[in-house]
Parts: sequence; C-alpha cells; structure tokens
Amino acid sequence: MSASGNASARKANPAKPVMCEVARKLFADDSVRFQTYEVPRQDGMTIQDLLRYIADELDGTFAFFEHSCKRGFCGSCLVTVNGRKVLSCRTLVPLEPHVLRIEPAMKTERDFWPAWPEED
Amino acid sequence: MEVSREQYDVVIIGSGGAGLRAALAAAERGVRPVILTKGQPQWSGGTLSAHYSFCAVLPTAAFGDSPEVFARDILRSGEGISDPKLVRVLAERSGEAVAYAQRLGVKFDPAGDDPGVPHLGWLAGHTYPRAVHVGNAVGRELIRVLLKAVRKARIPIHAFTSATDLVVEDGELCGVAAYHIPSGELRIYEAPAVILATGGGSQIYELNTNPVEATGDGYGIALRAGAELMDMEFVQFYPTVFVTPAGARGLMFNSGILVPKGARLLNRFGEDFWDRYGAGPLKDATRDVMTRVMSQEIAAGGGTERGGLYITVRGLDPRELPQLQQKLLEDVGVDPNAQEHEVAPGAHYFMGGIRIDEEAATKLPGLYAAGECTGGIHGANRLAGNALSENQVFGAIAGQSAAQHALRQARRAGQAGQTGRLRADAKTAARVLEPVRELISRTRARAAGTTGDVMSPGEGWQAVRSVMQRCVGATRTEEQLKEAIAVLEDLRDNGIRRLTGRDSALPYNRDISRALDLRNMIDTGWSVAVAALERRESRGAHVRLDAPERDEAWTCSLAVRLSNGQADLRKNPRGEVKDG
Repeated sequence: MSASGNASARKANPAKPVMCEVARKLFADDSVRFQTYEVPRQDGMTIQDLLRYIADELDGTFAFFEHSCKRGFCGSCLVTVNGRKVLSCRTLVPLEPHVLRIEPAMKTERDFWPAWPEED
Repeated sequence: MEVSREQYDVVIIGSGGAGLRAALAAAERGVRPVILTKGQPQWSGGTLSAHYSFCAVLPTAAFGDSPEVFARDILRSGEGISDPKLVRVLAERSGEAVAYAQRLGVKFDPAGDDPGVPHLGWLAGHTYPRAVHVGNAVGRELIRVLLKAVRKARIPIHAFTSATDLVVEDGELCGVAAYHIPSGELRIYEAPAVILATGGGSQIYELNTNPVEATGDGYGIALRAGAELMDMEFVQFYPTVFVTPAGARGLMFNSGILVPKGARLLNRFGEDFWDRYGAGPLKDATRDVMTRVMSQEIAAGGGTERGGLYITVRGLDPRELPQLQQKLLEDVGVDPNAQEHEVAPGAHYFMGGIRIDEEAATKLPGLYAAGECTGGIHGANRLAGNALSENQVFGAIAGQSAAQHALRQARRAGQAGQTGRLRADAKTAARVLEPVRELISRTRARAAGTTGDVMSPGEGWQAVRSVMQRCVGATRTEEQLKEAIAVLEDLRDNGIRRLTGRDSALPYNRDISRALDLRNMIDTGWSVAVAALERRESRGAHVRLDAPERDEAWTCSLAVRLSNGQADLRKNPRGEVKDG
C-alpha cells in the first residue's frame, strides 16, 4: 500500500541529522549570533517541527513561541531559511543534508519570540 | 518576588471570537475591560480555524425556517443533553450576531446582486440552509474585524499573559492571578467581574486538530475556583485526521466531501472493514458514527503501528479532491499521488464545559463564561457551523452581564462609602500565586543544581496526552477510565510538585508557560475521565465499549465539581426533547 507518508522518494535518512545554525539574541536590539544544533531527522518534518524540537528537547534557553494555524494561512510562523522567507509550518526540512541557517522574519524580542508592541 | 496589581471593571481571559466580542459588549456598556491572552490576539484561538460557516436564522432565511426550527435541530443533534434554555437563546440571537459582524465590516459572500444579503449554505443536520460564509475563512475575517473594533475602542490587550487562577476571597470573586511570560512578572488583575473565554481543550489528546493554545485553561481555572463543569465526557472527534508524516499530523482530511464521493476506509491489512460494524452505508455516516466505527476497528487490532487506518481515494477522479487542501498536504510532505492516507479520529471540539445560565453567568457571582469553554449548547454532539454562532451570541451576553455586575458592585461599594473597586487581600493573592511561585523557585533551584527528582513540562504534556489518547479517546471502558484517572490524579497530587523548567532565566521562558498550561491540561483530562466513567451508557460522542447502548435513565446532564481533591458529580435532568 502506498500510503501518504511512506512514499520512498520522500523518505528521510534518519542517520543524517539536520545541521542548522539558528539566530539567537537576548533582547530586541541585541546583536544576533548563530548557534549550531544537530536535530534528528523525522519523516515529513517541517521547519516549525525543527524549531519546536530545539526548544523542547535540546535547549531550554531557546525562546520560541508557537501559535500557528498549522495550515499556512495565518502567517505567524514566517521565518527566513537560507535567506528565503518561508511559512515554517508548511515548509519541509530539505532532504539534502546541507546546513540550514534559520532567522526570524518578523520583529522579535528574544530568539524567535514575537514582539508585542501594543501592550500598555 | 514582587507582584504587580492593576484594576479594571471586567477581566476577559482569551482573545478568540468570544473574548473579543465580550470585550466590545462590556466597553459598549461604559465599563473598563482588559483582555488577557497567552498568545497574540491576531493569531490565537480556535475561531481563526473556522473555515466555512457561521449558522444563523436571518430575516432572509428560507421559507419555513425560524429560531424554533433551528433550536429543534440543535436539540436533536445534542441527543437530549443540551440545555433547551441556552439553545433557545442561541437560536433567537444568532441573526443579531451576524448583523453585528456585518456592521463591524464583515462582508459575507452574497446570495445575489445585493451585497447585504448573504448566501446561506446548507450543512448536514440543519433542516434549512443557515451558514453565512466568507470564502473559506469566515473565522479569520471575523477575528480581523473584531480586533479592529477592539483597538478602535482602545480596549487594552495584554498579550503573552497567562491567567493562572481566579482570586476568590470569602466566596467573592475579586480578580485574576496571572503570569506575564515576557517579563516573568506575577500579576493580580483586580476586578469584580471576570469572563472566561478560553476556548477548548483538545490539546490534551496526542492527536488533535486544535491550535496549540487549546489546553483547557478555562476548565482548570473554573474547577479550581469551585465552579461547575458539565457534559465534559462529550468530546467531538474529527474522524479522519492525519497521523503522519510529522508536518501533516493533526491536519484534517476532508472526509465530509470525499466519503460521499466514494472514498473508503481500510484497516492495516487493506481490508474494507466498514460493513462489518452494521453502521449503515459509509456515505451517510456522520462524524460521530465514523469516529466510533474507526475507533472500534483500531481497538480490535486493525490499526497501524501509529494507531491509524487508511482512507483510500482509489477510483475517485483526482479533480474531485479539494485543490487548496491538496497543495497544503503536498507542502507538508504528503505524496500528492498517494491513493491511501493514514488517518485516525482526532480530538476536535469540547461540547461540555463551564456551566452557565442564559445570562452567561456561572454560580460564582461575578464569573461569566462564553464560547467553547462553556457547556450546555451542543450536548452529546455539535451540529456543524454552530461554534461561531455560540461564541458571538454568548460572548456578547457575557460582556453585557459582566459589565452590569461591575456597575452594580460599584454602586454598592459607593453606597458603603468605599472606592468602588475590590481589593484582593495580600494573603489571598499570595495563596493564589503559590503554585506559580513554587514552579519558579524549583526552576531556579534546579539551575543552581540544588534540586532532586524533577519533571519537565514536556514530560508532563506527554504523560497527559498519552493517557488521554490511549484511555479516554473516542471509545472508552471502565478499566481504561480508571487507569486514566489514577494517572491524572497522581500528576495533579505529585507530578505538579516536581514540575520544573530547564532554564532559570524567567523572561520568555517557554517551559514556565507550558508548565502553567499543564496544570489546566491535567484538571481538564481528569474532568473528562471522571464524567466518562460515571456515564455508563453510549450516546453521541461518548462511546463506552462496556456499555454500548443508550440508556434513557441517562438523558441528563452531568455536572462535575472539584471538592477537596475529589470529584463531586451530579445529574441534572433535562426536559423531554420533542421532535416536530
């Protein structure tokens, strides 16, 4: 049976982790530095899955807020990957094992935590 | 640790459709509301995900339709569990709610040349067409205009602010305790009236269709304050939710469109099992029937390793597949040419919730609630298209009622020569904030290397979601429910005390925020499990494999309260629902 997630052309090689350089900063105007993480590959993993994995499994200091519609229409999960803006909830981690450089695409306060300028 | 205090007339927790609508209604009554949201209002809540419909009886309704017929449809679908008084309010005021949205600027898709007359779509279970729509994104459009109006009215919104508990002193509600995630600040929002508009709790299940915020916050907050929940055993599952690949997990495969066109369900052996269950033709199956049969097949060993089944579109014309969804699925790694997809029933909507009356009032004076976090409308089964109707009608009522309560309190206090505002006693505030302080202290101690046995929020989330998925899913047994209750009570009584974040720096600490959610997830899961154990019958979305028949003695609502750590369960009989 050729089920949706098992198509061999899309099968990721779990032996090759995803190498990524992720933008970090402590406060809104802080200068950005890049931290390297090695994330285990999973079939059909999106950029958002990757950032969530870093926050929940690898690094408790990584500020990441997730509030997306998971359907690619709300726009809250926009990030820049290797210089290109993408909706992280509907963009797959590429199968080729090259380094991903991930930065916020919107105004943030700390790491990937969004800015909220309107609070009193 | 410093605690900051602010004073308002009405505190609204939640910034989805119900919360924003309540804020506008309160402000229109001349009081000062504030909205607390743990996310950001433009991107939070379940309302945003409402694609197609907002059902109402409009002045231009089909000949023969009326609020009475609408109410009857809801009561029939609720299988005798809905509260007829609340249903009547919903049906009677739904038209007004659509008109209000139009005045704010929602341009519903028109029926013909007149842009002011919306087209009415027909949805399953409704006797007449009643669904107004805006393309495929009515919820997003509704949030856009509500938020614009809230901003115009200069109603403050405190984002990334997690309400933790209500402040109740001598049986009197006097505000909300909260944690401000960006600063790590503890806050007391003092107010005589509070509205819970926190949405549902489907995130307590591993497989669900909801936004990540749907952790049952209102249920937990209400339970801990002594308020009553009702009908918590009725959780609506969407039958065909993707279980794999990772990025597609939780997305809905539109069985409502594709099954009538000929899509079939297969088990892990490739067998078309539907007819073995005697549930009538698959093409006519409603969501709850499909969910029940699929769950039974999975329980009988027909499920895949991941607990799924296959939906097959073999033989269907590819042009029949909804193209928008096909593009999304392709983007998240679903092979566009695959004929089978691995799916399972996923938690979708909580029919039960906080018990309210026609004024959206709970039994705790000053506490109001609206939207998915309340119970009483949908009963054992939610009719499609009624979630927005509910949150707009009862959001407005909650805002008005809370404002009136605040004005009454101010008058009373004024007569007694007081300032007109309640002041939470420092001791009460400290007691209410204790769980948050303890969490912070443990987190700091862990970073300093001075703490012992700990549980991370991630482990806690996993523990709740795994036991709910396994034991309190779409089908249940006494044994499973008892197991779930034991796990959840152990988490509540012992696990919470070990809950610790990984980073000692408080600003933007994701672990602290997830730990606060976890308290509510545990209490929500517990209330679903204790109610499901008590209701020894099968009806609507509640299916007991060890009590598969409907039992007329159970044509009643079941209320749950938390009393000294124990479940206090009470039956509330319902009136006979007459058809026709």
